[in-house]
Amino acid sequence: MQHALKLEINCKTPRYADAMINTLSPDPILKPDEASINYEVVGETLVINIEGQSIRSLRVTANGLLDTVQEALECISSLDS
Amino acid sequence: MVDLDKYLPERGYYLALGLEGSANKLGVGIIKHNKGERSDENRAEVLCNIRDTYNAPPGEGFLPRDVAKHHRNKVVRMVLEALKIANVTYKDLDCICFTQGPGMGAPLQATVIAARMLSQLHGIPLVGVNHCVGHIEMGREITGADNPVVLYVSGGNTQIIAYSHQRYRIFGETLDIAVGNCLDRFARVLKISNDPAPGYNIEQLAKKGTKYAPLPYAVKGMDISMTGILAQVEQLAKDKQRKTQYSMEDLCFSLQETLFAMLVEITERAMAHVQSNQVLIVGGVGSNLRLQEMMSKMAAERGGSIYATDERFCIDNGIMIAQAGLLAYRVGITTDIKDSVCSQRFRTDDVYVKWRD
Repeated sequence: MQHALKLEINCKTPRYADAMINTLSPDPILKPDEASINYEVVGETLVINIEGQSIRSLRVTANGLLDTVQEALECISSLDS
Repeated sequence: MVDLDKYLPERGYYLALGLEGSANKLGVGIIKHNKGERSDENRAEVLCNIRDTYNAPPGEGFLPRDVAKHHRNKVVRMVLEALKIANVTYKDLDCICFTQGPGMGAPLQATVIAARMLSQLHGIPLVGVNHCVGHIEMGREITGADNPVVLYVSGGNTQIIAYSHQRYRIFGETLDIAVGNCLDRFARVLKISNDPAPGYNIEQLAKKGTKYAPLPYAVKGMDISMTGILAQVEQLAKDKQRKTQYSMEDLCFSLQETLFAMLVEITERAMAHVQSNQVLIVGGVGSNLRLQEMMSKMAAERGGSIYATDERFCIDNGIMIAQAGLLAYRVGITTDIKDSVCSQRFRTDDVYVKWRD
């Protein structure tokens, strides 16, 4: 794929980073021939590598993913007490 | 007899939280089951059943991305509110139940994210629930109907269902659009408000209708078709000359009468086939009083009766997901997080109903 974006999200603890990857990774990407997402946990950081055939597919994939990431982070901050 | 207490917690009862988000309603419910078989003396207890609806502007339908945004914005607050209302904590919950399909992809996914997070943060098993089975199990629980023919009518589904050999089997269904979708789309043509629901507003207008406009009647064996009827009634609504012949109220009345007559016909045929005299109506359209009245007359002529619930349980809600999920949990069914992917197409008869004989 021609275009790539790397996101590094500090989840504060390795446990939260694991919860994030387990929450985000099961859902398949809608157009796998146009874009791909790879997740990795490094310590307390969730590393997301997004690749796209075009800038547009990269942007659309990243936009959708960031909405989901935001929701998952809100769950961590509000539902873990 | 199925053993429903093989996984009974030490405290002697079960608690489940259900998350529903397959369409424009986000629902969170918390249910309690005491140990033992369900009976009139041992009913499920609804500890909380809250819902928040995304309404599109008049004349418009709701779009998946807008609904998903609504669910993402509300889900955390609603879970916290539900726990507060039910007066329970995370550690009290035996399972987190979520709608796994069928429904709209983006809203389903927005809801399952919260379910997965809750499950992991607190070490609570997940249970994926078929939305249609959720409606059926909640309807059975609330009404006490034992083994009815089920008419499932909503914005996304229209099915006639009967239970046999641990499956809810589909005897008949729509060949194109769902009955609720047909009513909603006609409401858009008339630019009727979507608040509280377009179907409800059509029902109120239909009460004032007096003149029946002939519409196509499309029963095909055990199945029905509604797009032709919708096209015809839309044409009548747009036709200026005929506008004077049929009022908006008349058209709402005619549409309801035609659609509901078709539903009554196939329901009656299913009842004859499975030799049942009980009908359980579930789904959002099931709260339509005219449909209940027509179905009731048919059932009475067969020496039977109908079972229906009010809008708390008919319209999509979280408690029905908790109910069906908890029944599954009690016989050992849980969903691994990697298998928790939602599906827009999840047939009612795909579910193995292990909790019934």
